[in-house]
Amino acid sequence: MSRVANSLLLLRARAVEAVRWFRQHAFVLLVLAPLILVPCGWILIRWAPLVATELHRWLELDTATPAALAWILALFVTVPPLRTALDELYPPRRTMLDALPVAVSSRLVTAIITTWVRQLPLLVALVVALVVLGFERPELAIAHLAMIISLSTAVALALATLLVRLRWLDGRALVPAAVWLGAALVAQRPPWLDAVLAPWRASAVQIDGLVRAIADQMGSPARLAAPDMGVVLTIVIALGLATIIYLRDYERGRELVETILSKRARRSTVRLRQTEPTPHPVRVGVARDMRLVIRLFSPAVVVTSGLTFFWLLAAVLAPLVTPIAWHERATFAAGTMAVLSSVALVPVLVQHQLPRLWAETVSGIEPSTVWRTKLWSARLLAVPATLLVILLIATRGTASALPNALLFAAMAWCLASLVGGAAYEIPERPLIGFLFSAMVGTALAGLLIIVPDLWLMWLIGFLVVIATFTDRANGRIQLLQTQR
Amino acid sequence: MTRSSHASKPALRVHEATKSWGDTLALDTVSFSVDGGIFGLLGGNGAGKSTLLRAIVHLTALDRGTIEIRGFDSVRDTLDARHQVGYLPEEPVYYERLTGWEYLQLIAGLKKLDNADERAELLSHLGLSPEVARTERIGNYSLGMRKKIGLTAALMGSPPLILLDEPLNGLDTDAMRRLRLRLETLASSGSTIVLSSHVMSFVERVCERMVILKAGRVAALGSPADIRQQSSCSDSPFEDVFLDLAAAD
Repeated sequence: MSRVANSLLLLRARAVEAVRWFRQHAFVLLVLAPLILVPCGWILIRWAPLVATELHRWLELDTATPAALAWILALFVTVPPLRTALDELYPPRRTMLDALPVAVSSRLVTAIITTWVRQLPLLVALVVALVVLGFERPELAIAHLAMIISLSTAVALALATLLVRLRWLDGRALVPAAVWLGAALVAQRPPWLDAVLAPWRASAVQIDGLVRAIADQMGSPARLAAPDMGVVLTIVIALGLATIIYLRDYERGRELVETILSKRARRSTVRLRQTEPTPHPVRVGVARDMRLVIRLFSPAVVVTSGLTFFWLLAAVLAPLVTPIAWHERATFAAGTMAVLSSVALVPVLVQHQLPRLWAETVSGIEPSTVWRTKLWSARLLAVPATLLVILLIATRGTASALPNALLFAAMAWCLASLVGGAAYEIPERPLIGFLFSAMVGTALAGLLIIVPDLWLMWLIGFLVVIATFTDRANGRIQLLQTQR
Repeated sequence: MTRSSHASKPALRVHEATKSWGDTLALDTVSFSVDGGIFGLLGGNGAGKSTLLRAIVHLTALDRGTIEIRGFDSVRDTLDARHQVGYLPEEPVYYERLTGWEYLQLIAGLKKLDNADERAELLSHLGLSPEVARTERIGNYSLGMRKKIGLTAALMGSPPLILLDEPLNGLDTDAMRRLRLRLETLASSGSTIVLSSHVMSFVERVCERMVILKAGRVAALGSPADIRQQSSCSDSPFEDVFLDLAAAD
């Protein structure tokens, strides 16, 4: 009984935390997000039939590609809960909880429920999207998505315990992931490989069904009939495996995680030691920001990298799903989103900096230096995505490739400057700050994408906006530096 | 005012500094002046020591009163004033993912100091190996190691005014001794050091002058001998003298 009571206490503490987080972000979630998402949803609804038709045609023509897509999506569905599961099962730092008489099984139960619940926003968002799209049987989709979440939770927990045991918490984890993914794409698999791939196959089958049902749109919700016993069995086996490994020797797993993380920290530190920035305030500030990003100072680094990758993929695939006249515009649009995703880290860097701003403040540097540091950090963060999109434009070999590449480079520079320049506008709420600057940025970028001939107007608009930020930034930073 | 005329001004002049947090009066018309040597800032918990140190570097804005550092007003000439200061807060928040060395590089870059040898020497003197500082991230440091990084950041470049808020917290006996020696060297070479501490034996030994704050007001000011004279138990250990002057009514 005490174990159940302990699990309930832990879950209650998590729930209180979640409620407080929600209250803190209520404005964004209830006011700002709808303000932005409703127009986006309207655009989506206008475009959805076209996309659905194209997707449907694509699925009919080709059977291998959607299956591969489902496998990749299955991997994507497993990775985010894997991170949550690892943090929940083996927290990287010892806390007060470790000194309390809490049974390991209580921790496991808490980890299972927390990992499952943290995927709920995705479920809710997908169901809302399906309802908006006019899906005939949303209740089937709910059951189906709940099953996908349960499956990914179970697989993530099993993987987390296994990876810790194998001491593969570093980059080597990508090797089996790549091998499994490659093996999944092999048409004729030996039975043993099928067994190893079972959890992903179950996820992939579920996701494949969902993708096809959405593509069919209002067509055949029968694809979303009750999940088969195989899926339920996979969940039970994965959870059983996680339970056995976790409960068998929790302390050993914990020690392994601590050792691996400290070794990893030391390795990446040694690698970065080579760079000795010359003592210029902006340069050392940018070097600090880049080090923090490389060392994953926040989960936002993973999220923004994932989003950037997604939009870069969209830029590559854009010609497949858009009419020929729209190829360039679609590449520009997806590229713009990739750049915005990259620089979305800057407001998070500012939030991270706030409790540490005293060090810069008492060093006697000017507020404009603090601001310029983030401006340059944003520009630097945008470079990889910008270069990849330029490369993409260049490889398409159209007559307008060169001017388009130059135009995109200029646009990316300006967008990054906008987000970096506005980073101190709402420093405690990086998401709101980013949304505001991204709205201005996408509006300007949209103008350029739709009417490229008006680039001069776009440039004037940018200069006006950035001048406004420049004037405000000094005052904002001075306010932040001194407690009133 | 020219630079040379600023050099002739007192290192620190606090005039009627007043600050409230809501209904709580943190500083109540505090006034004193320091020029050279090691100056102790004493008081019980919540007496206003940290608020005063933060106000000196204008991390906290005063409600009334002025603070001058070498003649630079801490509000009007903030940047000039801050250029004169090395500051260690009571509980500094660091970038946990940077190594100690990278953090010191950042501070040196911001202050435009370019003397890596001085950094290494300071770290070694305080008992932290520069090699460890180079390879280990601050997130893995003990309280004492963090304090040594903060002290090195504050002492780098031998600034004219050094403000140390509870510098002894987390330091072992050897590190305390090493810190004392370094502070005495800095003071003899012209720096002014203002430190707050609850370790009375240390304070009595190193400070030439001190102020005792009590509920935001100056309860006593002067040399340790003067302070003893102001107390009703002048022959007792300094701890008792302090308690006599600083204890709540």
